[in-house]
Amino acid sequence: MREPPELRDLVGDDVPDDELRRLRRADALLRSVPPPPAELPPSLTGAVAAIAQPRASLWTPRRAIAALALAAAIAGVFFALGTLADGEGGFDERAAIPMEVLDAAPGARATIHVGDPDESGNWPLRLEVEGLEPLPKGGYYLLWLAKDGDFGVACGSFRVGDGATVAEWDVSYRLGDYDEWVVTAYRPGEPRDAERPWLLSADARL
Amino acid sequence: MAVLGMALPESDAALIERTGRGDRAAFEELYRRFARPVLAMALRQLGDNGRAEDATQETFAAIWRSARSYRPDRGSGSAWLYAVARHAIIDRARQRTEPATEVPEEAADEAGPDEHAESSWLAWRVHSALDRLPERERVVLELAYYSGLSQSEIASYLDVPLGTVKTRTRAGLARLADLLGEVTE
Repeated sequence: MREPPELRDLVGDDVPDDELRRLRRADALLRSVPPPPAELPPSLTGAVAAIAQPRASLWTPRRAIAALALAAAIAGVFFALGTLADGEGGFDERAAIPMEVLDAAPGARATIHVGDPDESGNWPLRLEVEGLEPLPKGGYYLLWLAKDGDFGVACGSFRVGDGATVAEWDVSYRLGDYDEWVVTAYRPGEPRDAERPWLLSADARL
Repeated sequence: MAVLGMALPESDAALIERTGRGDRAAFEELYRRFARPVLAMALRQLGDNGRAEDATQETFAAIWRSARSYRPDRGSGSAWLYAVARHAIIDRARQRTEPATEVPEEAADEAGPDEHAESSWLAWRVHSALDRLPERERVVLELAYYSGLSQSEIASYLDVPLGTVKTRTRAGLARLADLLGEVTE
């Protein structure tokens, strides 16, 4: 990593001496500490968001795992039955939005399904995607909400294998604050703050 | 202490107290303010991303569980959060059972425990202050100080005029000086 520029180069030559003294103290502190992480992993943000759910009692970790496994199995059965029956999803669907395939993901195809929000304002999402290339170990795809062409917030990550992939999340953002859904890829070894090419996009205005 | 040009945000202490009453929005704001400082400290002390993320998750689980025990008269909210994070990270470090394959940064640090604790607390203060800056100011400061980009390079990277970069840098440093007032005196 390169050394940061001198303070004068950062703020210009027209700063009065008394203000410069104050800025110099902040400048010295920034130089004295190691850099913070460039960004927070979406997986961490999702995991922490799950912490603040309404508390349940009498749930030991073992019971919780068993219940989760049972719920996953039941959900899988219902999803499979629903898909076989009429091709629709397992939640009250408000919109199904086909994603536009951009140049960096030729051959891909994806649809975002947005459900009705629950009482707390959590929007269920389901992304059905196929044709994206499997990424190397440690890599993952990300679904974002974007605004005016800039990344906004991450909604979740997923990996793909051969064939179709279905990923589901709940997000608590106000969807009206954003205008576009975007899918990007993260590959191990890339800087986490790098601009990533958009692979798929869709209008987020419901 | 006044912060230039923006309304005073809710204090850390108030957010912790609201979190103690089960307020999810307050908890999310604490995460927004302190997740990067916690993760940075965990990365420095544990040395690998996966364990650092686990320790960060455990820190916020502990905050959610124990915010009710916070007493403002015993110390600042930031200091309480720092202590919770330190405990979670130390617990995670003790859980290590596999042979060490990565050497933590601090292993090569010849500073004693007091100096290490002091530098850790300083980094915590600076990182959490950075996360209170408006996004446009935080970004230019981090690109300059932690990526080493020149102002021209930042202007090109962000696609904004050079003068805008200098203005944001100056405003961001001034705001940091306010936020870190007692540290910089």
